[in-house]
Amino acid sequence: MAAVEISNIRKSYGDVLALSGINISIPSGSFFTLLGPSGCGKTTLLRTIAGFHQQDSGGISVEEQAIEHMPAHKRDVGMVFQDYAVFPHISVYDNIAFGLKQRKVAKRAIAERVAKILEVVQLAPYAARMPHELSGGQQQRVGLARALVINPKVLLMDEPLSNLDAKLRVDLRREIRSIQQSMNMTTVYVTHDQEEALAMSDIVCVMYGGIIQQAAAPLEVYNNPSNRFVASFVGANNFFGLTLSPSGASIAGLAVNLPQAAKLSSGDTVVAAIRPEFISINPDGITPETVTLTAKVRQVSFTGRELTVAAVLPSGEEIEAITAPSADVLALRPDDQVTLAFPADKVQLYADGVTGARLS
Amino acid sequence: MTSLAANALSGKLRMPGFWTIVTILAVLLLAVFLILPILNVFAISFFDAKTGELGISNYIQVFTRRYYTSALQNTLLIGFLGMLGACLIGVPLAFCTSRYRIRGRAVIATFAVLVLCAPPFIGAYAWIMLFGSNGAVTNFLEQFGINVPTIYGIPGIVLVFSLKFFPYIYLMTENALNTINKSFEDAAENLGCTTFERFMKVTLPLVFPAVSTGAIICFVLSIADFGTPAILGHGVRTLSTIAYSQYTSEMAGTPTMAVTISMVMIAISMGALLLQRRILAKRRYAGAMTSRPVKKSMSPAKSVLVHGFCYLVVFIAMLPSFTVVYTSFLETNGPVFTGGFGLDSYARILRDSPAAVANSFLFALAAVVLIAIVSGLLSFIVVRRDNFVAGSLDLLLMVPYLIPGIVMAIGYVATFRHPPFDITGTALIIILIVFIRRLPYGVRSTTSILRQIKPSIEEAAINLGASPAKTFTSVTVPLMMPGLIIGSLMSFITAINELSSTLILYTSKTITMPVLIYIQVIDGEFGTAAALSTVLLVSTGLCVFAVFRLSESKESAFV
Repeated sequence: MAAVEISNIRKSYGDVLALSGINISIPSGSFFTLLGPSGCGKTTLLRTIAGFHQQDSGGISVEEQAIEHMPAHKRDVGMVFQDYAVFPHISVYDNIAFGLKQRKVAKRAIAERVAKILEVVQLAPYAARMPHELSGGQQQRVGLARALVINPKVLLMDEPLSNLDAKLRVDLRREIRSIQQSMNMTTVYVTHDQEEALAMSDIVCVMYGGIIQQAAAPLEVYNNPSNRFVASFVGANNFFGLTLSPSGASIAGLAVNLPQAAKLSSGDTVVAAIRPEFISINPDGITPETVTLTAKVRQVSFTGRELTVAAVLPSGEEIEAITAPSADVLALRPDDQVTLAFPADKVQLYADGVTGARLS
Repeated sequence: MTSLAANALSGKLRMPGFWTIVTILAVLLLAVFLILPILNVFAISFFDAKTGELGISNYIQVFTRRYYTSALQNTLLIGFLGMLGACLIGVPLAFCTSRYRIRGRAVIATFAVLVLCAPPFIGAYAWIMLFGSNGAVTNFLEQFGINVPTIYGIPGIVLVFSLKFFPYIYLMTENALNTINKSFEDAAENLGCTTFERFMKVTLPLVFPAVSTGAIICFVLSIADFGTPAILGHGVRTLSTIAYSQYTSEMAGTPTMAVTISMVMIAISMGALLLQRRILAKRRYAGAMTSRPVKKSMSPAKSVLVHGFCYLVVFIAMLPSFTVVYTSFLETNGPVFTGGFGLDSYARILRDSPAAVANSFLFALAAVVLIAIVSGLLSFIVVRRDNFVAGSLDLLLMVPYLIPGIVMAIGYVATFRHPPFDITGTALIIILIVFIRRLPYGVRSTTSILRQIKPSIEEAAINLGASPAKTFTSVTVPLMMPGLIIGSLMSFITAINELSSTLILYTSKTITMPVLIYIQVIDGEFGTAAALSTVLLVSTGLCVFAVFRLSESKESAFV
């Protein structure tokens, strides 16, 4: 059963179309992430669900109930804000109890529920503190507890981790995910961090220009991007122009054997994409199913778990490869010639343009 | 299908929201008590002073006759220089008290507010008693052969205005400086700015909205002030002095011309304000308050300098008040000081005029309660509601700054004299006019603090199920409290010293302290005038001090 059903939502600010015909169905209990660069409409969509923006047209229903015309304070959707929005003038306890008091929950029940949720977010010793006595991460836990304690039909989270430092961000995202799973809470999460989106979500919904580009499981979005935008935004990727002539396809002047290009007609402008982790450097054996290119090394950087090699093709196009650290690769110096090889079936083809369609 | 129909129905039947109702009430309130009286006066200015014919003949006179044009030039010059002087005093003082650990900050702040308390004409009179041609300081220095530069004319008026109005800039700038995110200043320092460069390139631009708002208030008050140029002018005419003499002179006075001149003054103030708004429109100053500014301690030498500067400024600004207090303890016989000290003047006001004291407090308090409630609601509409009405309310709230008290009073008499709405001669008309005239002080202060409260805090409350009204009372109001207190404080101070409008509206039953002081100064009763002024100064001073202590602890608790 779908917990949240969004149908044909449109929203514009003057001439600018912020959301254009958004259709989403979010299964109950799932973690649904809206991912995209700033200005893509993801926050607008979230705030429209919360009732802080009024849509121009379209419908939103939560658990089969239409809420698109309901005032924001009656929607019963919990929200966690990017800047925490913890009430600075009342204690942690009163912050968390705020929504329960609005719902006229009995005093004793409030105390029980607040105590329980404080345990869940690991803030039990801090109930009496004032918000300014807490760190950013602790404040965001208060924000989370405050939204969860009312048992909302759906939890909305607007980039809740982007004001925190990197280490804390990773810790807290694991914690949020495990709390979400244990409570089976339907969650709509907004982020511009693709790694965060992949790590946390059941469904990643990539947005760009007010339009949904792809909505699928993280692995699917990563392995099978529906268009060039998704391929470039989710995970690292290399793109280069693919020249098609009657004699075959070529990249940077070198003929390549790409079966998936066979159906394309010559003269089309096509972009080939290969993820850095599929590229090997100066490999020993080369099979017919392997594409090889020569390039000039620009920089080799060691990041602990892996090595990143940045190189330039003869055409001037840049290419990046990621490999396991090895002495041979580490010994490479700028301007050294290298052979780059990757399996032909890992190459994906897209039409030209930011959101060029998948061609293979 | 059914859900679609239900949606359409609920969409149509939705009740008007809390804020829609409040907005409608606010518009009605301002329309009746602000716009209507002004329109009435505006209409008067288009009837020829002599013939009563409809036309712009009055305006042609103002812009062609030398009598009026020289006054116009003087007014603009004095307004600009007074504003500049106030900025040069107020901004450095605010920087010192907000960035350095100053002993007795509360005393400095209290004195700054007290400076606002002294009725301007008493201030001007006190300066003459000190630095006039027969003044105490002048005579003292003459013994040593030192000639004091003249206090009369434009330089004297500008000096008095600078020292009188700088607290507006000081208070507003200090408030803004205390709420700047420290990281901006740290970043500037990190990028290689010296303390002074950092102040000029980063801090000052960030508090510019507050400084410019204060500056505009100073400009408008400078050009509207009547008492100071009347006493110190010595032949220097300003628009306000000729407007007053045209209205009040029983012989050759033409009230219509007074109103016309006032309209020109309003136009000048309006121009200044629109200019400020244009400049402000390009600046967005919302920012996360992640780290509070820190008050630094200083090296001993610097500490002495900074403390010396702060105390010198407030001492000089307080000098007229000290003089008035001193004078109140002198034995007098009419305008003649007999030489001894005593409480004669106080005995006389207790015997003759206890009602004036009671009225002053009652009216001012009633007005401030109204101001606090209305400005809290209005500022929310102005800041948070993004619609046409909110924008026009913001503009409309500037109007009371621009309308000289005399014009407003003439408008009130013209508007509210018809039964069953005849309230002329009552306490209500005075409370209402003071309320309307001082409302902007409250709204300014609350809007500037509300702009610094992130909307997400209110959205969080709404999201948790609090209705808009409940969100306002349980979240917005407590967070606005420092601004509400400071706004109420500033409106109380100006309310209790209201003279220009009450001078037209008072009756023997509704006389207030400033009116009585003015009458006594005119009659030469300097002793009782000084005693009344002292009562005004001391009682407001005590409230000011108490509220400042209160707001200081509150401020820190809320951030």
